[in-house]
Amino acid sequence: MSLRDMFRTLARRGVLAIAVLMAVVVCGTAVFAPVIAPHDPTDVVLENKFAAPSMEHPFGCDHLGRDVLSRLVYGTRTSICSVAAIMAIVLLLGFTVGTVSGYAGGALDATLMRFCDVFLTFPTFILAMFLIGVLGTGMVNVIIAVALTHWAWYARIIRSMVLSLKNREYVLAAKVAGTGRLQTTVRHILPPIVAQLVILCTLDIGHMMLHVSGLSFLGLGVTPPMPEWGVMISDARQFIWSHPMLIMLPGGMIFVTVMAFNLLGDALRDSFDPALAVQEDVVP
Amino acid sequence: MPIVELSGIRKTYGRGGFFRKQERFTVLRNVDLSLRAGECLGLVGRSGSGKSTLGRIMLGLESPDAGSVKILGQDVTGCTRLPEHIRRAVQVVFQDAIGSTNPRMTAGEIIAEPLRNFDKLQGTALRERVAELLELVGLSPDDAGKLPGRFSGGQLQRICIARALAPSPQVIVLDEAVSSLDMLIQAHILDLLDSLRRRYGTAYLFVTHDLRLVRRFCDRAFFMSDGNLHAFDPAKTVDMKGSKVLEELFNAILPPMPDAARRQGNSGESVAV
Amino acid sequence: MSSTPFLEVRDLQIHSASRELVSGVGFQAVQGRVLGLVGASGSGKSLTCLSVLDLLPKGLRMQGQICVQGVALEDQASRRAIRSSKVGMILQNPMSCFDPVFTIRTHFRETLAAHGMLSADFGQRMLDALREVGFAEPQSVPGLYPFQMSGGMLQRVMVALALILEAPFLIADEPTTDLDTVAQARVLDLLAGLKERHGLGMLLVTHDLGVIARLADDVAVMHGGMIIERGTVHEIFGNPQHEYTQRLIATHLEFSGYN
Repeated sequence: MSLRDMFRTLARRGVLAIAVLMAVVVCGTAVFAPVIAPHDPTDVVLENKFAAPSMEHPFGCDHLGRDVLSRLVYGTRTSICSVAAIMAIVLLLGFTVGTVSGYAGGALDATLMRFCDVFLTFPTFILAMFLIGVLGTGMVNVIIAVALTHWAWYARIIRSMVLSLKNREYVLAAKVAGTGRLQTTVRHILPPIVAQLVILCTLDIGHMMLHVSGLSFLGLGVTPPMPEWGVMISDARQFIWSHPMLIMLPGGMIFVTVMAFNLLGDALRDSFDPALAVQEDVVP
Repeated sequence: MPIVELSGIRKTYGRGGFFRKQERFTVLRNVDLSLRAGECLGLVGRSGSGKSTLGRIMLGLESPDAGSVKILGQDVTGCTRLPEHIRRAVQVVFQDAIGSTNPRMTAGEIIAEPLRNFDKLQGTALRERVAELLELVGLSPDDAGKLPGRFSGGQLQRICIARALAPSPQVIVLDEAVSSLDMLIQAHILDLLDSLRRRYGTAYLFVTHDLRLVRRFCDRAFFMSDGNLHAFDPAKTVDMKGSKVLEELFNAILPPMPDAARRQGNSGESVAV
Repeated sequence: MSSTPFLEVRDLQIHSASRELVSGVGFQAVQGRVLGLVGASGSGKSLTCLSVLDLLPKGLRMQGQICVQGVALEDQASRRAIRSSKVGMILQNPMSCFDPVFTIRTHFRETLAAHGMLSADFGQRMLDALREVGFAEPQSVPGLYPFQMSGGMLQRVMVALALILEAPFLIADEPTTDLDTVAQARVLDLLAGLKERHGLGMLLVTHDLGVIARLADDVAVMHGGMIIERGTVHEIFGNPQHEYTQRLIATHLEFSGYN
């Protein structure tokens, strides 16, 4: 391996390490929010209105005198939890519909795919707003709406992967070797799909987070006292000239978190890419 | 009683059909074929002539549009899941050794798959049987822990053969199983298969487009043209004027010696010596 | 025939990160003759051939000298320049050499344009080249897409592309390995005919001694990254010296039913 290749590998590993670190910090913050946050994020103390940063309030306070740091920390929790819930629904629906469709083929496949197409024809954000309009506002409905706008992509992708894998010769060989359908799926079809999906999911996490924040910014998401980055930005809009920090801090959090997961996705894609893997260990 | 008996097999595929009318074309018209124990049957034809399809029908991977498939005397036409004793009786080795091994499983796990399913072997018994099979195909038991990426094409093909042999099948379909290998490895693998046939009475359906291999390996042979099977004697190199397809295949046999090639010129006459 | 060899390789070495894959390989190929490079997979024959065209996979490094028509090609740029302007190539898998979304005509036009050889009589030259490689009705070919053609047909289109560029030399890496025997025989007949009619020189890489017997004039046998034996095709087949070559020839003759 030449020096240049070595640097390239190190750089790739470096990005992966930084991305993992950032993602761990964000998730850790969400889990340990009560420990990290110095105050109750919903505690309104009017005499602290727009308080400057101090030892007690490191990032100051907002227009209702709530501690900004605590709200950011708890906001992480809201974002991560909602995205985790969305991802769970998306994967559940996507895997079920995708594998059933890919395996069954024929009329069932056609029906399921046309159903997916209906979801895919609308711009996701508009569809999410429409669904919330029907379901009503609130965090649970935001989760349902965002999940429903995303699952069809996953179903499509998983179906096409199942289709290409199920006629691979090693899958046929497994059938001849007497492996049952469920076993074949678990041992031969799912592992390569999961490897691909991990990448796709990490890249999509940021996207979903923006959706949740966007909907909250529009007032369709979380209900007011609950801390959420989109809501914080929305609240701080009126004070953008007098107190720009109030809008920049939650904005910065969204930026950092989305970037962390995007970098993680990129780094994972690189490390799963067979072309790059070959470069490291050339076997003629 | 024949181990495998195919009668009146017909298979038609549809092609295209999204923008224009679907084209139907028939790869197998009315095929009868039976295979007895310890027999090696050659099946030759040009690529796309339907010989692999016939192999897949015999394996139960595809079902025919008409006709019946009998394995060990039992009619299994159109079964999506063969009964276990029949499933283990018919095994396969595909042409593409790399494509027919799961890149995430070690050689040992690949060979163990049929043993787990059919013989319910586990633990030490399983490991011992895998080691035995690896040695049978000329590999070392230590290779069991390696992933497919660490083997050459010829070695991987031997792993596939070990997997096919694992359930002690009565028939193995060799679908161009040695075509892409070097000649020395081809010779080695054919010798191995020959000795297994003598020892266990395994029958083979040897699908290939290379008549040199059929001549060396098979007792009976058929060639395929227009979806029909025609028998020919693999040992004879004269008397092939009967069919255009067979004539073509015989003329295409590469010359053994350069002198013959030069005398032969471009006309491609028979090179039987 | 000129006195300087068309292609000369001297002391070629190819390394991967951990080991030497080809060591000290050298040969000369002249116009009008076919040099066959034969050996088992992993013997380094394909790598040797790829290094001449500068198509080595990433991560492999080469040393040694490659001369075309007596001029040494020192750097990558010059090796790339001779690729397909003076040397045509045919690779094992013809399907992967064509872009499935373009017709054969587009492939011809792009190839000629890339070499600044596109002219008004392009269509006629394309048809001539296609007729030359054995298409009885060449006018039906340019409108086809690669996936509508068989492997043997595509391999002949590859040869036609080399012909239209007036390349005097062909490098063929396992040109018939993926074809069925009938298609293989036709492609080999075509290559033999081109050698006769156009004095085309060829470097032919294969593992099949039958292909060598059919087409090659000279043979170099590779084993373990080295050339272990070389000679005319009659010498190699008639009187092999090296133990490995003897084994190879014996197996080949046994397979061919030659006693």
